[in-house]
Amino acid sequence: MPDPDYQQIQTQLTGLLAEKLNVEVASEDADLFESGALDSQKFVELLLHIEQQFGTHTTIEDFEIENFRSVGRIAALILKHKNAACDAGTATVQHR
Amino acid sequence: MNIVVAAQEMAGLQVLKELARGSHRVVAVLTSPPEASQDGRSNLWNAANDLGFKTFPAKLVQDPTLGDMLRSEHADILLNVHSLYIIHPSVLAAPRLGAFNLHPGPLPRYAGLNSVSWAIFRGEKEHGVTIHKMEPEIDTGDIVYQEIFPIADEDTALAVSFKCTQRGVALMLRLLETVSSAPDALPLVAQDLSRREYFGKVAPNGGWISWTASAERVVNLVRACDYFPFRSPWGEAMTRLGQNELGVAKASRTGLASHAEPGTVGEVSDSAVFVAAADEWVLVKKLKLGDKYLAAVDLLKSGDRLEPSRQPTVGVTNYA
Repeated sequence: MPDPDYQQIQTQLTGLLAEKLNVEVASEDADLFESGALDSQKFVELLLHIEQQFGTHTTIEDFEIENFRSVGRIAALILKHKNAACDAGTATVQHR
Repeated sequence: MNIVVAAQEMAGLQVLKELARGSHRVVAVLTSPPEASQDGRSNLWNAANDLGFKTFPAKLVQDPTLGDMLRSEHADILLNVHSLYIIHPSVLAAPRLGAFNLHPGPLPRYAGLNSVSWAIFRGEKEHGVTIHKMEPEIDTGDIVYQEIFPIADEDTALAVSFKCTQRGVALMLRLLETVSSAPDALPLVAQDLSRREYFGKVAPNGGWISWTASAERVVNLVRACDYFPFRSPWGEAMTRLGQNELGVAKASRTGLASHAEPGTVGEVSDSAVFVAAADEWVLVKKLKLGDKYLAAVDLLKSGDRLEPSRQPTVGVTNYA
């Protein structure tokens, strides 16, 4: 069963790409680099929009081309950060 | 600390994002203004403004009066992250702790421009990034940090460029941590300049493929040019079909021996065509005609002949 958070992030990402960057994505696995959809300007914009829209800070360790190759992979990266932030919050509460 | 950043490209953005989250004061960001970009957009300029930083045109680093401004702002350090301009010596001398450059190459080898492309073209199996103190002569200052990493056989210039950004920005952050807490602990290792190799801006042989070369050399040139879908500083590797000049955007080795005339188009499959190099068939997948990218199978047919090369243009193979 697909993770509903993952599905939601993916839908939001697809919308973001279409509305902000004028990039139509055929599927979650479509290769954004091989298809030529993302030039360097759009890629920089995408990085900024991801942080603004999802409130996540992608770290320099995340900066691997494979992490940004498709909507599915970007959604997985965002979800990883959201879960890590939740875990940290939970740990802080338990600690108190 | 008071920091000045001369920045471009993905690496510049990553450094700015990290600085925005930190406690240092960013005095100025020098980057290309929107009117200087090809399409009137400059996301780094806009991003820097969004992050709350003051932006100035990148060219200002050539102006000695910038040094006065930096002194009046009590600048502690200047970070040069893939900026395209040579910084005036009086600007380099202005920050209290000096100026430091992130170079996408393993100095003292691969000094100069387009080092990622040159390394792939020359068949290197590893590459590196270097943080060094800046001196008036390009890429010669003492090395602070360096990291070496492998280049995979299938890595394109874009893939290696991502690796450089990831590792280089991490080293920049380490530099900031050290200079802000214990500047005397900063390692400064003089470069062995007898090992220095300096590379120029322009692609070897003007970027033209010589089909009489080995398949490895042909594919290395294509990979070295391959920043797709980003703009390549070398453009695509070029070949000629009749009167048409074609960019070869994607190609790979097959390991299949060829005895055909170099440049001959052999079998055409569903998704790629086989072109003969001196020793092996090369699988060509994507071409560029004019400003359009097309599948190779839509442009080439069996029996076509790609010109082995154009006569080299004098002065373009200017690497040391």
